[in-house]
Amino acid sequence: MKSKPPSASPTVSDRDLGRYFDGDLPAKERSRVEALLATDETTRRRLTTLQQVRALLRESIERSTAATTINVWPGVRQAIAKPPSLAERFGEWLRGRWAVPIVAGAAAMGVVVVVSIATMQSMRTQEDRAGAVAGRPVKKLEPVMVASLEPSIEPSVQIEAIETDGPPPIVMAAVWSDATSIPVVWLEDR
Amino acid sequence: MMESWMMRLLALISLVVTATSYADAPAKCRVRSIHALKAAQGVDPKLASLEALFKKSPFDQFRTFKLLQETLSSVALAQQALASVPNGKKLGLTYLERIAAKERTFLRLKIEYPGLSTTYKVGEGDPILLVVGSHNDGTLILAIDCVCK
Repeated sequence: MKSKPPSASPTVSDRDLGRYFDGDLPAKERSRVEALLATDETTRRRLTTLQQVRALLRESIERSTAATTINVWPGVRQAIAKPPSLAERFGEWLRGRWAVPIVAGAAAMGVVVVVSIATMQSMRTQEDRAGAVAGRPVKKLEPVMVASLEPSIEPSVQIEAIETDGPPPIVMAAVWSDATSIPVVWLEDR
Repeated sequence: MMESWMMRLLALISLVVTATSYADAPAKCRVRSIHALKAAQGVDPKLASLEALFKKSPFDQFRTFKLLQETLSSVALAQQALASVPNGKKLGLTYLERIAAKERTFLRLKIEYPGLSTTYKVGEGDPILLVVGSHNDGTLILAIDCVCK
């Protein structure tokens, strides 16, 4: 029999927090989340993180459509790196949740940060170990995706491996149905 | 008695042959090149199957989704098909494996785009989405799906 890992499980799930952020939560559940937000610092921090990442992405896309050239990801990464507590929190989040379901909707914006951090960490270690391959640096990134909101449902699209010889892609989740999300690989202009 | 056993044996052989031919059948793949823009013109009716997806993050930043190009190809197992996309680059699609799961069929596919190689396990007919940068004042999105029936 499977036992649940010992963890301080959130009172509101990632999925519901994402739905709350998206305005998709029914009134009753919304009230429950709001009550929790009023009293629970951790939940407030999680929501703030979602808001920050959503704002970054929105700003990035605004800039990309205003200019001919998209060069937004360095800014995103820089912004991620600036508040160390945010990056540390995501690092902890990532270590605790590797290969667990990805959250939906706006919560998926959190995945942007998580995956970026994972990607950069992975690149550093693998480059250190392997160096350049055939004169061209090829970066093997760790598999990053299991995209289902419900553990019982097998994700319909999973990324098993990514290799890049350019800037690392941003991988985020998009809501595909009520129960699943799918990964979206987003490249900066190259 | 003998006849009954013969019938069962034939049925079993037929089942094995059918399963084997399914496993070896080529995948029929489609690469759709989609132009996403901020201007409000709506979703191209040819992209109706993706409309719900486009209304949610991260695609809700755009308000127009237009199908620029659709490439269909039949890809044999362990073979690669190439599709040209509107930005002048080529997308490589390799059909690596057919995976029959309990309730549905998955395919293992390798998608190659300049500077990037990604291996996916994807449900039959479900889309792989790749956003490949700016294109004509908008953003170019590639949606790839395959079936192996």
